Amino acid sequence: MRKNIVVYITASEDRILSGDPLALLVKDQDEQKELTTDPALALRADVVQLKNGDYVLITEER
Amino acid sequence: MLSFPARHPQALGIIYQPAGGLFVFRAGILRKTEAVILETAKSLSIGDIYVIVTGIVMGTTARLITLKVDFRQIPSYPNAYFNCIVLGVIASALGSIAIPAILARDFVSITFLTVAVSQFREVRSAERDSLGKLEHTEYVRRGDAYIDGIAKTFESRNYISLVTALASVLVMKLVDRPEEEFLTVLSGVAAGLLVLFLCYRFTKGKTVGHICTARIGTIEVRGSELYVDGIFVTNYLGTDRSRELFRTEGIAVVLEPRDPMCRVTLENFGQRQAILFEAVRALGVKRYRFIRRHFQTGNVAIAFVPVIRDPDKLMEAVLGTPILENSRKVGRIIKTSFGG
Repeated sequence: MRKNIVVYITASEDRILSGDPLALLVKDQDEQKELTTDPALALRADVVQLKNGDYVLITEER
Repeated sequence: MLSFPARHPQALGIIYQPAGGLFVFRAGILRKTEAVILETAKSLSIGDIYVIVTGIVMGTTARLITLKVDFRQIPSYPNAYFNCIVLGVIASALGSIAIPAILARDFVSITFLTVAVSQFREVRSAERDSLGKLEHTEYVRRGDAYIDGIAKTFESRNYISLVTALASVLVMKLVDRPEEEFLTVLSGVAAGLLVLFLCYRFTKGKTVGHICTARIGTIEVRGSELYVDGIFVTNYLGTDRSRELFRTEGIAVVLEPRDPMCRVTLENFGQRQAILFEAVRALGVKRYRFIRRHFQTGNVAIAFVPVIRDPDKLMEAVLGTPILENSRKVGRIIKTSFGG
């Protein structure tokens, strides 16, 4: 089973790199939390919150 | 039976006439002979029919008894039942016919048994392919190791059917009392049941319950991390919804190996995959299913959000998961339950 990071949601522009995966810059914490829901539902992804507060959406190939 | 050597007058041809005797056609001349030909010996007597039918019945019974629906739920559909029963009848027929054929000096009949063996191996292969192709439709994969075990079980049950029929017929032929057919049949039935019992015990194997203890675990969510009895399981709980789901509806079980030798078996990846499959299969899964081992203690934690929240059923499913062949590396575990 292969796992892919599909979206990275962060509050710091320093952690954004170009290329895959899609990186979203969202400063507001509540907005960050809300923003994880829709892509996660659409992509059937699992959400991991990192210790620094950023979110990573991970999908699993079946 | 008629074999007439029209093109090769030197060849031996046999004309069988029950009323007028036996004639052979040799060197262009038809001669009467007293020789006994094999074909006459091949005709079945009533006694043989009793013996063969009893063998088939016993072999088929053996297949029916081993066709029980257990926690693996394979087979679980009428078509699959029917396939298994028909194969059982064929296996028992081959086993039943072998002994009378050998006694009639038809040693070629042994080749039928080799045909049966290759046929049953095909059964194993077909079952493995079938379950393998359905893997992506399951909530959790069975894993190749578990599928291989199930396929081998299918194969071995046909052999049980064959061996039961063979033993029944052999004993009936040894006892063979033409004037007391009932006693002969009874001895065949008794022998069949004994062989079935022994084969069943021999092939039964062990379950996870033999090598470890299990208890319902306490679920704890710390941030996005999930712990079961202090064992880290995952950090996939990044959303409030998933955390709440696990807090309110999650269920977990912790397996503790009885000794370090059992730990070797429990830590096998295929074995853990099979345990997770059985747990999820028993209760269904709404969302998430995790299995994690603790490196220091060797304990294994399983956590998921079930459809049916029934801890007793979960324990039964987990402890009833068979020990897989490729994970049975420890000598003590390899021992079968043949002797009880």
